[in-house]
Amino acid sequence: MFLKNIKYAFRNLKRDKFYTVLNGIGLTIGMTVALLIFMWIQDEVSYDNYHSQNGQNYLVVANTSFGGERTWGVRTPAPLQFAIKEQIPEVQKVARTSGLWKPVLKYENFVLSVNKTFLVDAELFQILDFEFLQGDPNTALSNPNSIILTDENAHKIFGNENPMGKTVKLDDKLDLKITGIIKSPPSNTHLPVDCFIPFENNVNQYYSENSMSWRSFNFSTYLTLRPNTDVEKIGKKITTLFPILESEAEKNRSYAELHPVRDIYLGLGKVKFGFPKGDPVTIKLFGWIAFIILLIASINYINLTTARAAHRAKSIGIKKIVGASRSQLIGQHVMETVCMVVICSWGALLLTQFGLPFFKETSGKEFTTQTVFSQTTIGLIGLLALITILLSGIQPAFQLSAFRPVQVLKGSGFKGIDGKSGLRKFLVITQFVSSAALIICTVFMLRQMDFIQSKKLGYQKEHIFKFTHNVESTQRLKTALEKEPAIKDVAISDQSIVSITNSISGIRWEGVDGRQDLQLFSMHTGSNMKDFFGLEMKNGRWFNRSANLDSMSFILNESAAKAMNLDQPVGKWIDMWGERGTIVGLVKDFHFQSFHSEIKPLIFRQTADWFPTMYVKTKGDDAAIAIAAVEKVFKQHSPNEVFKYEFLDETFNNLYKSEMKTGNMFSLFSLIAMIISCLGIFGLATYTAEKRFKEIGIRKVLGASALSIVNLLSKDFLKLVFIALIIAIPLAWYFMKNWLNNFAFHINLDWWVFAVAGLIAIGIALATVVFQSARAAMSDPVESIRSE
Amino acid sequence: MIQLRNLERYYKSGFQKSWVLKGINLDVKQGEFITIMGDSGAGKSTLLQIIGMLDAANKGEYNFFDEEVHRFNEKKRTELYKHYIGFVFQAYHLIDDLTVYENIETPLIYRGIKSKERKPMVAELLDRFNIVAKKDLFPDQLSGGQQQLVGLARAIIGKPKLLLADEPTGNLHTKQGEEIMQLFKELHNEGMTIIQVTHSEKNAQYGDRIVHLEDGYVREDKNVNELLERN
Repeated sequence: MFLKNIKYAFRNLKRDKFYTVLNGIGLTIGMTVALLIFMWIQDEVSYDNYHSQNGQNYLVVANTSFGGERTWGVRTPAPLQFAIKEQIPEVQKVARTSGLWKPVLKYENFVLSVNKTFLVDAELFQILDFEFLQGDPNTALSNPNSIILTDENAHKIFGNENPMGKTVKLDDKLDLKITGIIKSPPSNTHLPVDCFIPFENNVNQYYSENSMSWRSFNFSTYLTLRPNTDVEKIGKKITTLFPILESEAEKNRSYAELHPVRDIYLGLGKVKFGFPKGDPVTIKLFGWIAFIILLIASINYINLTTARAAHRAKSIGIKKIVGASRSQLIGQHVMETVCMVVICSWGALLLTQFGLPFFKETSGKEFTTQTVFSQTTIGLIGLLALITILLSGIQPAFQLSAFRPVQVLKGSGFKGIDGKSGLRKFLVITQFVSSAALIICTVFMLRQMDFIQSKKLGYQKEHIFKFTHNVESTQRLKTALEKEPAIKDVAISDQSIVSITNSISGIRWEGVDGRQDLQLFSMHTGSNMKDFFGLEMKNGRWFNRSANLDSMSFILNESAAKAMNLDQPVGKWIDMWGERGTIVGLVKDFHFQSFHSEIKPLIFRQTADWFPTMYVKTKGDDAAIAIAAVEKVFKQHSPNEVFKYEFLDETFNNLYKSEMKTGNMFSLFSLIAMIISCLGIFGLATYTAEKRFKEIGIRKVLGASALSIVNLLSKDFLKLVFIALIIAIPLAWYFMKNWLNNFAFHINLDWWVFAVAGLIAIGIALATVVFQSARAAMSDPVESIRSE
Repeated sequence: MIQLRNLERYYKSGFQKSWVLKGINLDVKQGEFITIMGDSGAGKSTLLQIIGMLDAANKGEYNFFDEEVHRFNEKKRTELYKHYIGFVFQAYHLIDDLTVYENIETPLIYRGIKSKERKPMVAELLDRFNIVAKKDLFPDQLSGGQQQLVGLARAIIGKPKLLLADEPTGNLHTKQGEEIMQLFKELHNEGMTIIQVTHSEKNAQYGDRIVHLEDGYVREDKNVNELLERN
């Protein structure tokens, strides 16, 4: 019976080639997209799942008060580790990590920048899993001047030579002996790493100075608890370890919680900076899209199968007469679906394989052939196949098996089937509601991205690149650069203007009593900043050329003046922790952070003596000459540093990288959903035209024009698409309103965009249907009538 | 074997009922070969379908081997006819997608008979009907007579107690028709109960009893011999 059913199923599929191929394409594309999404989700949710002690591994997260605002962070003070070790026996292991700032390794003449270099306590290797290919995790970091490299980096430096025992120079300061080689951790880790170095050396001045300070939150503290420990209680215990600092009010005290390591990537929404972060909402969103696309493809299958049921009705009736029970018939039809889906699953696997490079570009995730044919993926496709079979196989099987044999004998046609198209209409509407809503959302997402890229920031970022440096005399470097002919201008500051993150608080100003909690973002810069970026003054002036004259001058943005309640800020004084200066200018608001947030209060100063960020404006469009010139000068001033530059456009785009990726994937999936929906109505239209072949012939003989026949055949479909649109618009409106709320600055939900997107949807549907209808309408009427 | 008492079958259209069968009383004994005759629209096929349990009467009693069929639901009727009844149709009604062999085999599959036991049963019938050479062909590759042979083989492979035939020779030319009727006669001689619907007086002679329907009533119910004597 089982084998027979498979045999019959293939025979049926082969006989209706056109519809089998149409269904096959839809299902294969649908399953491919769903598989890619599933793989993406699988990767997102599997972050850090490989640590063997995950059940007891935690990261200490701390809530600290900063300028009156409380924020969560993944960094804690260095001495916390010792306190935990001494006072909390439930903690089995505890270790810290702290990243180095843009370190560089040098071996003979080879220079490698190793951005992900961490100072660590050796106990970390007993908490998190790192695979040691060479060296002993227990002793590799015993000597303060040792270093552990990943196999990847070791290969880059030493090729096939054995790196163990060799000495590399870090940041041109310190000789480190290689005492261990670890396998590069998998890509789905919150802690991607290049090298590990022990804390107990003087690589990091910052650490040496702050190793005993409870004020400096710059260390990640990981720990392993003993089994069956009350996690919340330990968090509270750790909180009590933070000493109350003299200047701190009780309400400003820091407190700690434990966060599972397994959940750092997806579960740390409350922490803004620190580790790479995934977005559970996006995961859910894409999960739904995968389901919708599968549903759309399955609806095609259902509709094309049941619409053409008439010619199946006879054999079903006869089978019943010769003794088939309903369940046997259902089994037979489900088997047909199973065969179809199994073939499509293989197709989907192959297509996925080919689609990987493209998917990588869109999503930023890299999957290899091994991932595609891994056990997990095969499991996923199995799951997908099962879902698809349930979605698309069950309904037709039940509907088809319900025919009564008497109907067959009467040969009275199968009114029951054709008339019962209510479900089919509903399904077509469902398809187009989903795909039209997706298309509308895509249009708004793309418009928002466009809006972000084209919106006036309030400063010019074109033809400017920035780089950071360790050169002590910024002025000398700047002067040298200004002499280069390819360079138009050079500006300096302490951080990137695209995303200003430094801030101050606790200042006083004219008209208020005592220190204020107000948080002001703060930037140190020079006298040409205003002209360099084209900032506009509202009042007053920018800094003088001579820094000394303006050492205690401040410039505010409009938001700051407003937040400080200063109507006429220019000329008023500000007291910064005992030193008083004057506000000399008021600059118009500009966007110095992402569009997700409002424009915050900002203060410019030029008191710093070190400006690690330098901006270069190129002359004309040929940036390459300018870059080469800067690199040359840079090398002269800082021969051991690696020169790295980034255009501001790029920096700016990075702010929205995740949205861009989400947007790209979303548009791709919407497009595919629309294509699959259209495949469905294409099939239905073809079938309708076939079925009404004779009717069309008679109508034409009676004098109907081709246009009226196209109209006759298309209007039913277009009606459905139109109804779908009416449902899709409010749905899309609701989703987009929520999504746009993530941006403090966003586009409006203009009605005309809905109209245009709607027209596009109708247009595509029209094109699909009319093609078939027109073909039928153009056919020779004699042929259709003669065929009877 | 079969008792029909006051059987009625009607269709409602609006408030009007139009009767197809009215007040039918009929007794069929095991081993009989009955022919149902009558003009088009007399209700012959409907009666056959009700006897074959593909259709149900609106009123009246139907007893089949002492089972009260009129009280059965569709599922139970299916279970019953699956084991006791075989059908032959004017339009053959073979399954287009299946080969001759597979068409004949189908009823056995649905009864859950194992492949090993099916093979000799199908082979025997192919042999008996002289269609061994055609076993791998599809119905549209056969002549009408050959198709009806397959239809008959399919109807009897399950060894039914009752064989129902709705104008089995209606689409065939004379010689093929005679061949089929000869087979019916053989089956009858082997003890099978047969009810056939036909327009052909000649075919009716193969049976031993003729029931004449007219506008849904039984007009006449006589033995073939009696009728022959009357003529």
